[in-house]
Amino acid sequence: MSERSVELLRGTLDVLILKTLSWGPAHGYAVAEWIEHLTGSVLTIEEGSLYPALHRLEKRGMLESEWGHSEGNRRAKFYRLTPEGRASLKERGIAWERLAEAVARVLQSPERPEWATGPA
Amino acid sequence: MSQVPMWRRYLRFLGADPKSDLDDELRLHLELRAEKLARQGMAPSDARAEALRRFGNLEAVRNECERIDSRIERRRRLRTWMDGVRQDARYAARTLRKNPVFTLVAATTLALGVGANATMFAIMDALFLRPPAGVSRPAEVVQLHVVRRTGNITTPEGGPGSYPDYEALRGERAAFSAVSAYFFPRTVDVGRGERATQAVGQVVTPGWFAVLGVRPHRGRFFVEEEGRAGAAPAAVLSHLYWRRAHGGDPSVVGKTLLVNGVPTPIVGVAAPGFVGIDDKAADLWMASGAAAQLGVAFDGWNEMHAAAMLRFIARLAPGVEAPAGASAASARLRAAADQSPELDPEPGVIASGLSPASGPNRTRVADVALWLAFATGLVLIVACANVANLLLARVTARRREIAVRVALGVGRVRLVRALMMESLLVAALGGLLAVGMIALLLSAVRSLPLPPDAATLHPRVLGFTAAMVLVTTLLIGCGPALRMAHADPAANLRDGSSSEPRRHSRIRTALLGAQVALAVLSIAGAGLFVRSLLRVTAVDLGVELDHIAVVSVDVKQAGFGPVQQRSFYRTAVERLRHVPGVRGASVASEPPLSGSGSSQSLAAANGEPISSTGEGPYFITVSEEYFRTTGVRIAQGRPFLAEDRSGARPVAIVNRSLAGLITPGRSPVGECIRVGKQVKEGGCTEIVGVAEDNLHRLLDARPVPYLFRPETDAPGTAIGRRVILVRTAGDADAALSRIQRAVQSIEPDLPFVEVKALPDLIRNDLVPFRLGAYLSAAFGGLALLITAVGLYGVLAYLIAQRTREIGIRRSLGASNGHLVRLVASNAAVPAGFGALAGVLASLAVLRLFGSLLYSTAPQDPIAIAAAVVLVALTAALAAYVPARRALRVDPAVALRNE
Repeated sequence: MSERSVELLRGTLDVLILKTLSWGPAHGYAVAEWIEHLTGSVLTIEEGSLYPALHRLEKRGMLESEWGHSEGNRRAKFYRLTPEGRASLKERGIAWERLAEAVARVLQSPERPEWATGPA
Repeated sequence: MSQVPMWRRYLRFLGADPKSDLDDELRLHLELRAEKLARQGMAPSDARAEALRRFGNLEAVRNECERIDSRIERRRRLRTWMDGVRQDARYAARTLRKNPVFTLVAATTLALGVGANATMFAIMDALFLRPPAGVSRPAEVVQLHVVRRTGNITTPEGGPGSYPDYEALRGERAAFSAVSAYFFPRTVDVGRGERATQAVGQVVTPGWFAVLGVRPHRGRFFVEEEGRAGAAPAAVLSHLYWRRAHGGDPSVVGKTLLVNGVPTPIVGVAAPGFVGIDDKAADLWMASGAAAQLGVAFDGWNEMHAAAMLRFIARLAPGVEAPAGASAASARLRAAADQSPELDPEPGVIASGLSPASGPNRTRVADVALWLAFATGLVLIVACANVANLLLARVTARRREIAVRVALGVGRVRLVRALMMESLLVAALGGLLAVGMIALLLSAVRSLPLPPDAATLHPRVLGFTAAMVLVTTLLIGCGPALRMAHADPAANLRDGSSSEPRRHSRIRTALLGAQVALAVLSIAGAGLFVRSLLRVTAVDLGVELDHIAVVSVDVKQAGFGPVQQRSFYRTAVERLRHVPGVRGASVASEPPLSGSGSSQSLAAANGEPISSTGEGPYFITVSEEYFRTTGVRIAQGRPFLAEDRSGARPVAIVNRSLAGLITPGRSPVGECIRVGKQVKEGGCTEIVGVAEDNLHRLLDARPVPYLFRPETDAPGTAIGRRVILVRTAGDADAALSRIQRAVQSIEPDLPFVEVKALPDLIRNDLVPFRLGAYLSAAFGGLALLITAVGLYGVLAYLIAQRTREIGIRRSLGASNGHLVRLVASNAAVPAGFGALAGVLASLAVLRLFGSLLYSTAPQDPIAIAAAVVLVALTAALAAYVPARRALRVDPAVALRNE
């Protein structure tokens, strides 16, 4: 996997985490479950890579963490979106939508260029 | 991947470190995943393996998270610490604001100490430490000094060398990447006629700029050709001179400048900021090939081993250290040494850095600056002792508050930090005030002969000030902070009384005593410098200094032969006599007190040589108006007359010192002596008069034998360089420009006509004395002032603390005398011990500065006694006000308030 696509993936994961946590505080497993649930098998990520992303977001001040208890009264670290995180989500969300839209426009366009020779 | 399942390893490190949050977090994930998979029907062990597989590289994830977490943790700790510091700063600021008088006194005291030190640092930095501006990688450049121990030229501490020496040194290509030679900067005449000016010119070999790594701003620097003897002259201007004298003319390169009468094309302008590497800023540089033409050196200078008038610089080759460079250079010089008996056959070379005063070229000013740096150091220590004392007193007063804070659980480390913060704030405030003071002081020293950038607020000076603030913080803060932190809270809470522990009073006495001692030392030093200056200026020079102007024109540049020169000087003397404000004029081969003169052999009529045990006798050629003009009195016989000019009957006038050598005990007037050629060829010069002694140079302790000869009109005789001395009615300064115009009007095409008041010509000799006296008096005064403030502050504080005790004593019938003694003993003990220590320190330390004084013993009892008296009076004055306050204590009020 090239450096560039790792960067892209990391950025993508950040947005997904931020969006997930915008619904409320959650621990890492819950975040992973939710993302998996929504994306199905389209985005298969190694679950472990979620944690460095969470910690990095915490370091950058996008998330705060707090220890609480999860199912079965086990210690769990809950992450919560900070105002900075919310702002970042908004900004990055818009950027993502624009990107997706632009890519979709190119892929779904019925137009053919003048020099087209091959089939669509 | 090893055979051991990852799961096991995971368990193991969980077991080993159950507290780890990270492990908890990751374990929870794996457990929840495995449970879910199990719920979906997987066997538990398979579920765990599947959870682990889905998780990916557990170790890598764990490591990366740990790395990120440690950064989070570090940042969090820093933030907590910063919060604490900010809190302490706020608390300290509040405390200081509540005591504005204390804060202001402490900060001002420190500002005086820090400011004086930083100013001296600025000067010392420019003199010793900082390399000249504009030189690239200056650490690689060394000055090479030639050491000769035997022969006609001896420079045991290192000195200049000759052109053949330079050629030997530049052969060294292993140790040096480049070598260059250069002359001392000197004044050159630029242009002709009324618009002629003077500039500081320096003759250098072509590689000079390359050694220093300076780039041309315009045009080029010198090429190898221009370094060959007899080459056409070429000049490079400094950027500053180009802007000043040529208005930054963009087409200046290619124009021709008349330098010392020689047309010299300008080939380039040096990079901005570069003004050479000497303490005198250079305006222009000339290539060494034309040195003889330009009158800087004589013909054939570049072939004589004995013509030691060049200095050398070299850039060390990569990886070569200065000592290795010096020994390589020594070897080269020895191999090429001239084997004549006149010169040391085994010369050596020492290397020094590039800063202006390093190496053997240190000036007297630099030595004085060293003393002053020492004196300012004393001022700072006194200031710190003072503020430390004030802080200590406050600690005593605040013991109760501190005890409360300790009892409330404020840690000792935290407490010390809070107190240091207070010291830091006071010191920083002092530092800010000091910067203002530095700017003021530096503008005051701008008139001194220091390197051109000495008087600027260099970033290094600001850095030094900041460092001083930190050092000061430690000096003033450590004692009180530690004292406070070790206080026993319970004891302090129990007896909230304001009586202070015994140890505090002992420390206070010691600090006050040290201040008094240092004040005595610095004032005794100042006294020495002042007495030395008084002695220098009170010397009977034998010349009426203030009313004499000296005119100097290099008429040879105008192409005058001997006849024209003589007639020029006659005309000048005639014309100057009619200039308003001028009383008379005369021609002389040297101005008075110049420290130079020619010397020839001298014998009595019977052929027995006449010689002086010291310097001289010097021969001065003067016109007949000389004695009237300079105020040198004729004691016996007559002055020169117009008829002496013909030279038909040789005559001379001797000064008293020489008269004593010729005819001890009686007047030599009418005696015959043999002068110069007459010693061998026979003949006789009649002594027609005896002049009063005058000093040869300002700082001489004794007069030197002089022989005056009349200016002659005899055709065919050569004439050396002459100056015209002008006697003015008022101070010479007022008439300078009129004198210059009168001389210029004689001949439209003259080179620069230099007119200076005689005191200005010799003033440079006085600078170290003035500098030493003024500044050390200022710093001594400062130390005294700070000591007085310190004594006053501590006594006033003690009286305030002991109001109740004084009230009780009062009500029990204590007399005024008793109370005054009570207060005074607090001042007298430290003052007494301090003065004693100060006298001992003066005797020990001031010896080191004896060489800087003029006929003043470094252990001068008057200076030391005066310092003790002055400090004692100041201490008494500082104790007087608090003592009066003690007498005014009303017992009733004092007891009620408690």
